[in-house]
Amino acid sequence: MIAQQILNGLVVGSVYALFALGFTLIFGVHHILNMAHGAVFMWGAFVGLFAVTRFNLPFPVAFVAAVVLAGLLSVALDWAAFRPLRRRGAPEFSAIVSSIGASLVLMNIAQRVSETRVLRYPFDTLPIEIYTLLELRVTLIQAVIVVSALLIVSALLIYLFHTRFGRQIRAVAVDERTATLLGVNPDFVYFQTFFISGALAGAAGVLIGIAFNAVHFLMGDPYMLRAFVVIVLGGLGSVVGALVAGLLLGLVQTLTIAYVSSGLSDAIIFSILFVTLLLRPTGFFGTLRRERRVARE
Amino acid sequence: MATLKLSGVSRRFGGVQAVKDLSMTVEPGRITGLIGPNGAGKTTVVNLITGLLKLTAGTISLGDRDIHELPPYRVAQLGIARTFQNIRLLRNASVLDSIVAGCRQEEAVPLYAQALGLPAMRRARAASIERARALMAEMSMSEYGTHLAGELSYGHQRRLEIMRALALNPAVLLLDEPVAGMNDAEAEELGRVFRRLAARGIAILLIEHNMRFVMALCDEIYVVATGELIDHGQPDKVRANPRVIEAYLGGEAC
Amino acid sequence: MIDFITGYLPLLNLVILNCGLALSQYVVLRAGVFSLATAGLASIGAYAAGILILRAGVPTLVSVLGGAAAGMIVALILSLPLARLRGVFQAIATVALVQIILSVALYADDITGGANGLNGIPQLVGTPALLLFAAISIYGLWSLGRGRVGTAFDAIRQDETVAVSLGIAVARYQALAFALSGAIAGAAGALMACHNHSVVPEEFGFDMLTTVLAYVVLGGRQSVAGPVVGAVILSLLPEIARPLADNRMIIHGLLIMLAIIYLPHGIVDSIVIARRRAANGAAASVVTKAADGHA
Repeated sequence: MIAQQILNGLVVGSVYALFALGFTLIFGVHHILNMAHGAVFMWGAFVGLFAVTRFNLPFPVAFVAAVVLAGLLSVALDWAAFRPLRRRGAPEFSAIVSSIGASLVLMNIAQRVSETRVLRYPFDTLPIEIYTLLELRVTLIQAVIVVSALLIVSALLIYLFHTRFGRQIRAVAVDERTATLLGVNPDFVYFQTFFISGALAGAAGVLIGIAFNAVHFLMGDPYMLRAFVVIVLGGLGSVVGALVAGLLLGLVQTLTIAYVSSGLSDAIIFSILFVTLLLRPTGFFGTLRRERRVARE
Repeated sequence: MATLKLSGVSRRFGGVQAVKDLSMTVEPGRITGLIGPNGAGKTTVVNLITGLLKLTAGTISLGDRDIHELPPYRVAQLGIARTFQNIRLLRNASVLDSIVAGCRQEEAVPLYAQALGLPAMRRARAASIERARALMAEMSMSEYGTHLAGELSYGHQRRLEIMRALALNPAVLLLDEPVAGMNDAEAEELGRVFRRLAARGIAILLIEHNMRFVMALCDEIYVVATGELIDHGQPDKVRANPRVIEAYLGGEAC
Repeated sequence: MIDFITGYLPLLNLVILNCGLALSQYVVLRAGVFSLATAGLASIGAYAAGILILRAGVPTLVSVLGGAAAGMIVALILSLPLARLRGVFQAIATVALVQIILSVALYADDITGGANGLNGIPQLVGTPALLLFAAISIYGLWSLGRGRVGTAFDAIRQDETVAVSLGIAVARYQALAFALSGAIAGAAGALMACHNHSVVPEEFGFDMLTTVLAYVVLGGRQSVAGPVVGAVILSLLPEIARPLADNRMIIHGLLIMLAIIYLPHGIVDSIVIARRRAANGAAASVVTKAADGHA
């Protein structure tokens, strides 16, 4: 039934939105296309799983641990892959390439740690409960996903738009040099944005890991690609855009798989990406930064 | 040899009128100055001429040909060369390579000939190198051929930009603050170079803040303030105009 | 002795094919186009050649040319929309393209054999053919690179505003770079198909994309020698020691990061620049010595 599929689509979409938010934050504020974002997401899932399987922590604790550690991993990533380039004013190209390298390293370590197997949660980590809401089936996991996503996004919006730190982040997004001259400590801003971005990715990772009960070192790849679509549709650097486009993408994907063809869903999604890049490269929403040069002059 | 003509040129940026109804003629063989306080719109005018920015009103023509609708690379191909206010060099390219980049005659060699390395291509490249060497000799920089652009002294970097612009064999040369940061002796020497170039028939538009330099060198001067033309004429007349002096807030020692 | 050589032929063939892919990635990066589409273009060439040989009985040489043509055509079509985008978005679009091609290849079973790919392609391509391919590609790119095309590419890559001010038709040159990249990738893919008996879709995915990028980042993107050096080093590394082979991807990742941070011009171009600096330094000291002599 289509309403059910829409619900499923929105659940999937909220994870895409979480993931894409972290990605777009880094690009919007610092103009870095962090290709290692998917690897951080994947490590969030790994940490969540290991917290449960190796350390016997209850799921909520594992969740928090994963979020925090993913945030720290992201900060470490910035320190290793991007900061040296910033120091010498390297062009955009270098940061993207560096992040690709970092992503390979992170994925490979995960591959070794997991011995290239798909890891799974123990059977009773989260009870399998199904609720009925207005004639629709909602599993506990789906509810957890949606509620977590809502909480996290609300917290992020409050942080960005109603705290001093958030204001500093937005100042740096507009113009880093000027913000520095006005007393904003850029290193601290980088710390915050990368931590938040990693935390978002980590949260998405744990949620997906438990939702599909599958954690493996390649799980970040499809999400990266979908994040591209989300940020192009939603506009690079736009928080609202990432949210709306993420949800929309989840919907489109779920409906396509249900009603058209599962094999072609990827091709369809990426075709949407291309078309958007051609017709409206700046996306459909406003941005954290005023000027978003997507097209050449 | 061709005349550059701006008629009623205007450019808005959202709510800001950067250039308003500007008309100007830059004639071959003459050095025309464009002066005005900071923010007056001078570099905008240069960007409008070269096509990096589009007009919101008016026309720009080179000789009998309208150029304001053309893409910037086409404007350059037609013979309008420029230097940049903040020097723009390819830092890791050698001086020779930088100038050769401006030599367009190699584009006449068909692609297959270039891919096969046929003699025609080698001859064209040799001609470009010869031209570059000639320019270096003219600017007294003959020994600097293999030096990297990024390693040159400031004065030499400015000269390199000029040599590169000249490599295009331009009809019009737009110089955006070419002697900024130079002492009087260096500036004077460059001034002599510009005179020589003008004598060859190039139309030179000179944007500068160095008043002494401008007044001594230019045949005529246009003064802009907040995007509008406030005076035009010979240096003596312009420097005496109270409006001009006022625009500079007390004026520079002319 | 002959056995020694023949023992190493497979490795040589692999190195040559990797050089081809590296050259394809190099030419677009040199022109300042941030395309990572080489893997996708190679797969198009591979499928085109495979289909021509298996379904239409076209002779090998013609099929390889067909693969090159297919790669070139797709690249040219791509270049139109991509020309209007800034670097970052070109990267996104081309990464997405590689994925699209992979998805379509997996989906269109009838044409492409789906997940099994194309099999049973007669192996009529050996070392001589590959060497010829390498020679043509390297010579062609070297020759173009020494002339106006190379000059234009370098200008566009380093400062597009300057390039435009010198009358360089940026879009046209970037389209040329794309076309060359597509043709070489298509040819390499086609040769891979003919050399490996088969076309396996996963071979042309993210793994190849990053590996090919690593070749150019490590080797350099201005001189033609750059991608070749990068490809040779990274192809031979796994042969030197077992641990190197097992950890291929980590090594690629680390080398990419180290190279872009500490040796951004790549090995070959860094050497070229250093030698030039040294020569200028030597010349300058000769000049000052002469001056001192007169002082």
